[in-house]
Parts: sequence; C-alpha cells; structure tokens
Amino acid sequence: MDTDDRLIELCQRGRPEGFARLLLAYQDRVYRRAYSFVRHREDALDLTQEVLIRTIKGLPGFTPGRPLWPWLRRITTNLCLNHLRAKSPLLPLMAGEELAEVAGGEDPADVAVSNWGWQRVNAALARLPPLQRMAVILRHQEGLSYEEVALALELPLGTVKTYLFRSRHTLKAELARDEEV
Amino acid sequence: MAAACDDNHLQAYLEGTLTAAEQGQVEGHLDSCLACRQALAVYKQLFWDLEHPAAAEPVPAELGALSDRLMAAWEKAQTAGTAPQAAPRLRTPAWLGASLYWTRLTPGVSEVIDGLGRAGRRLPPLGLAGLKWLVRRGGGRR
Repeated sequence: MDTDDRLIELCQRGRPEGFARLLLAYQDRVYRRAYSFVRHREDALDLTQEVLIRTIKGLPGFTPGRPLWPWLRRITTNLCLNHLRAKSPLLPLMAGEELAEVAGGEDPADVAVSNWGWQRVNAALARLPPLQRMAVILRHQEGLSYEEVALALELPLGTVKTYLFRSRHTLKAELARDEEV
Repeated sequence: MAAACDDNHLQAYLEGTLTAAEQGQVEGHLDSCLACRQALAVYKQLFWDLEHPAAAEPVPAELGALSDRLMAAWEKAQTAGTAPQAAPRLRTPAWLGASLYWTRLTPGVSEVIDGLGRAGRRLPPLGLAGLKWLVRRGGGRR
C-alpha cells in the first residue's frame, strides 16, 4: 500500500498514477463519510466529486509529511456542512429534543444492556438532525476532540457539548424504545 | 432516575472528560445507584457500537465513472499548468496516464513511464476507451 508521502510526491510531480492511487486509497472513504453526513446517495456522489476536485487544486500546495485523511476529512466536512445549510437554511438543530422527551419516560431499571447491532444504531443515527449526527460521527468515528468538532462544525464549544450529550441520550432512548416494540 | 442522577455526567465519565474530583463524585454515586449503573452500561454499549461500525457502507457503482471523470480533470489541470511542480516534471504520454485499471494491473508502470519519457516518445491519445481496449486485448487482467 502506498504511503501518503509517496502519493503526495507522485501527485506533486504531475504523475497521473499518483492521483489514480490516491483515488483508490481515499475515494470510497470520502464517499462513505459524505454519505454518513448527508444520508442521500446522489448528494453524497456529487459531494465526493467536489471534494476530489478541490483535492486536485490543493495538492500542489500540500505540505509533504502531513497525513492526507485529516485534510480530506476537513474538505468533506466543510462541503457537507455548506450543502446541508444550502438545502435548509434553518437546519433543524434541536429536533432531537422532542424525540428525547417522548422516549424519556422509560424506566431506567428496565433498560438492559443490549446488543443492538450496527444496523440499528446506524438507522437511529440517520434519524438525528444533521448537525447532531455530524457531531456524533466526528467525535466517535473520527476521534476528534470536542474542540476539534467545534472547529470543524463552526460552532461554539458549549453547543457541541450540548449536541453530543443530547444526541447520545436520544440514541439511547430510541434504541431502548425500539426494543419494546 | 433520582434527582442526583445526571445523564450528562455519566456520558462525560465514560469519555474521561471529568476532573478527578468529579470522577470521584460519579463513582461514589454509582456505588449506590442501580439505575445509573445500568444507564452507564447502556452508554458503554452505545459508544462501542458508534465507534465500531460492523460493516462499511456499500459504495455505488457510479464511483467508477466518477474516477474516470476525476482522472480527466487531473489531466486537464496538469496540461493547463495550473499545478506547479515541486520537481522537474516527467513527460508522461497521455495514453498511459489515466486508467485505474492500468495502475492496478501493472506494478511497474512508473518504470515504463520513465523509460518512455526519457525516449521522448509521444503517442496519439487513445482515451480511456482505447486504453481499456488495449488492456482487454493484452489480457492484462491478473
């Protein structure tokens, strides 16, 4: 497998096999991350293309020695954020609250540890408001700190913390409620 | 949950973002609160599921066509000179350049391109369709 340094070197020397290998290494990952944010196949494809077009433009100035994925992830996050805001200027930021209130009546003593499986967790994640979903994904799947999530989403740190706490509470409540059905 | 229970504190405890004093308080509370111990176990499971997706999202077939378009965009950017080179650029014949299939199938492609570049040969562009025909004709798929 090519290292990032090798890919960058080849691309900066104008070698097409360098960019071809970069696509092989990262195109699917960019698509999956975009899809996880926007949850729409066609939009995710368009966004993947846009991310990689920007990559072409940015590669000449990319500092060798830096890893590629954090840079690609930042471009993907920014473009998805812009896309979601363009689609819905008043993003439903707090819609998860209602869900938490509805599900909040369960008796905690009845909530057992369950093996929900990734499919159910993923389905519940898809139902979160977009910004909350992005915050959860950046925190738990990309391993970003709270401060890094705040920077990525252009939100105050306190807001990010609120989103994360509320969305995880919502997920927990939803998954427990689904089990009762 | 009793009034002293704090869902946010449980999450923060799991994430390790509490101060030592706060951590001690939560642990003291957990000792005496079954509901919070159960909630903590549930959060632990949830965090694990979020951080370990069991299966990667399938990618659509259209990504293959997207790759071709992106390679064409790459070639165009190189030709237009909008990509300043960090090192002297090798003369890469266009017909060798773009295909992912070629890159996959031929580990020594860099050496081949270097050789052709040194020889200064330029071949007419075949395009991606022509390249794929060449690959099929040569039986190059391994």
